[in-house]
Amino acid sequence: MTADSQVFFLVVAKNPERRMEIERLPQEYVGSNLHVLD
Amino acid sequence: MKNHDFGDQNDYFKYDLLIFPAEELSRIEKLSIVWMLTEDDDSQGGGRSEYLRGPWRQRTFPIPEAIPGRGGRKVARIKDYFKGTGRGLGYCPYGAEKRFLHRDRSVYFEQIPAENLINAVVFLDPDNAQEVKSATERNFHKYVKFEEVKSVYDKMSPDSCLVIYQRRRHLSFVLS
Repeated sequence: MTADSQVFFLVVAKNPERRMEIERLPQEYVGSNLHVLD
Repeated sequence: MKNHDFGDQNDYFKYDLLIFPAEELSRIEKLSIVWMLTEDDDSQGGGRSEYLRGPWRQRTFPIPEAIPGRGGRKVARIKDYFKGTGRGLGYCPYGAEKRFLHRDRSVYFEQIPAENLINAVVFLDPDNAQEVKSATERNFHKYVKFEEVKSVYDKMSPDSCLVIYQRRRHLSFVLS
């Protein structure tokens, strides 16, 4: 999911549990341009 | 972030991206935005207003519908959304009404209220994403420094998550 092909968003989670929760958000929403780091 | 960019189609996308996880993730109580507000200029930002109504955007559509013309825009108005249709999600703005200056940036980041970083989706909103080697004293206020990202991350509670954006052409990331 992206507004601009030159821009992407990083979501930085502090713990693995939160990371997994973010990754379980609907794929239509998360898409390939929302990267989750822990 | 510039006031005149508030609510154009890319900016609207940003709220959609932020509000949805803030509402859906467990133990998240608020959306916390560090605005890093800079002065409006002659750039052409804020001109696009083709708001797409995707499956995740129904709930945030009152945001662009309430936004005035380019000259009257102010990021501080986003609080109206949370008052009217925010579904109970808290909103903690920081720096929505004061200009972010390079010379004051250390104090700016030090003064982010601690409560803004507890159980929150925290978003940093510089004009031009993260710092680049070519940044100068003249334009560094448009970037967030890596050390500032780290300082916010370190102060966040364990349940919070940090959202930042990056422009592909500037940096390469190794994502695991």
